[in-house]
Amino acid sequence: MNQGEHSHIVSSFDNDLAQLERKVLEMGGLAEAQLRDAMEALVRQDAEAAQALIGRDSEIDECERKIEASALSIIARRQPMANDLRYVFGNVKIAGSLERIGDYAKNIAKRSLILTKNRLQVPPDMAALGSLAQRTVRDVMDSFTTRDAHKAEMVWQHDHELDDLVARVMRQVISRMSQDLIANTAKTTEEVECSTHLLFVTKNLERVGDHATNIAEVIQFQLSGGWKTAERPKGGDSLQAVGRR
Amino acid sequence: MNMDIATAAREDTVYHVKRGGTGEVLGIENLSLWYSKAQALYNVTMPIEKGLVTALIGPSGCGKSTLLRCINRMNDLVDGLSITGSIKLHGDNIYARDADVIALRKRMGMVFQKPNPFPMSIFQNVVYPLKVDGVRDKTQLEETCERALRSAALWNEVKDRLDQSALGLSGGQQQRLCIARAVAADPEVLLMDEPCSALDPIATAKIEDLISELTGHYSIIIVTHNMQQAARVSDNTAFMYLGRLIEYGDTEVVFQTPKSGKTQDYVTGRFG
Repeated sequence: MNQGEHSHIVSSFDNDLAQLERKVLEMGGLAEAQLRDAMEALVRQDAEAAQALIGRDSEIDECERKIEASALSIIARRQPMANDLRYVFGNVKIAGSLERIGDYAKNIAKRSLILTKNRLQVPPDMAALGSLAQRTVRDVMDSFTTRDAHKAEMVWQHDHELDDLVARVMRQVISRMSQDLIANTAKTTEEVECSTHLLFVTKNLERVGDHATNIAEVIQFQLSGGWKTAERPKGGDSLQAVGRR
Repeated sequence: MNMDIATAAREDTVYHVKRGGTGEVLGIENLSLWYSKAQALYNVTMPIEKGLVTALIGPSGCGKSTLLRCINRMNDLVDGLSITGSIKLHGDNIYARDADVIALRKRMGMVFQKPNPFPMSIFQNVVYPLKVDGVRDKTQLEETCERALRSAALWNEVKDRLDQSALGLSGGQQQRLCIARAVAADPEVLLMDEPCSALDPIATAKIEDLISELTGHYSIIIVTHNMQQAARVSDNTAFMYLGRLIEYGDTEVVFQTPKSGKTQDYVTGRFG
């Protein structure tokens, strides 16, 4: 796919860029799927699904290496300039963020194995938080595909909604821990451990949102050549959520 | 000239010139040029910063060499040539009726596509501009020769054979000799018309290194077809197309985030 209105004089350059784009799209699809599967495994307490997706993480890592290799090859052989250069460089950064998103999905799956073993119910809003994180990743990758700076901007602008939900889920987890403490219910160390894992899952989903906004910034850089300098609208602060009793 | 058209054309150029801090060495104002009836330059307005390297890029026939040749009036002898607008060297209009073309050319060194050493010794080549000026003092000639050859990063390679013919040097050495000859006259501006196009990559690298060394001491204007070269050696880049100055300014901006769609198409290899 062309980066500008016109094709390159050297048509194989267009092919190189199109191949690079396909690899990024494939990686984005994998990261989305891993995140979806991780949240399903968590909510449905499906250990088998969790194990399967943990095994698939290496595919995402492999995608990142392929994207880096393609980008290096294009830089070495084509000496891209201007929007082509920004596109190639930006795709390496996007791949880095997608790889992290994949890691967070894998980490959620690992924690879900422990939660499933202990039959711990997830907080009521956890599924909604997972869906919102997935939608954010999907929206930002859609804006990549369609080169839609406005859509990327929307992802960036709306990250605070995800932050709000993160804070709410954290409060739900902490509130349950506190109630147990006040009621002096005998708690096993496993249950305390499980609640802690839930806090980490929540934090992971917040980080997924942050990486999606990073990708949105990279897409805007690819399209316009400028980096966003404004502060992103902030939502609920997970620090405050933890501090609140 | 219809001033409305001139103004409109100037407004069409995108400017984001990087300043050198020591002012302009050359001011090109509303320059238009015709070869008989064929117009080759359209209202080019372009300030050249002192002490910086300015690259002229653009496809063949865009007018970049024509513009370079206007700067030291090398186009004067072309039949049917007419020019409007002005070029000022430190404020002196080089196209003024009373302008002394010989004196003007002494203030500008020129290096061509193909090295053009004179069929004489290395020493005689370098000091040629001084000899034309009537300098006969042996010490002064020797000192200038060494200084110019050192500036051109050629001294160590030729210091033991200054009396040998310049034609025995390699292509890359010959080109550096031509730069030394240009530098010997202590010019205010150094004009380079595709100085590396006849050289191999190693000789090219040496010339590029030399250009970086000369930055600050000389104001260099280089015409090049090699965009990577323009990106590497220049501070400002001018993109010309069909006789018009499309975009002129900071080289990093031109090659990373060009402001004009035409510039972007050219530097990314989408037309040419």
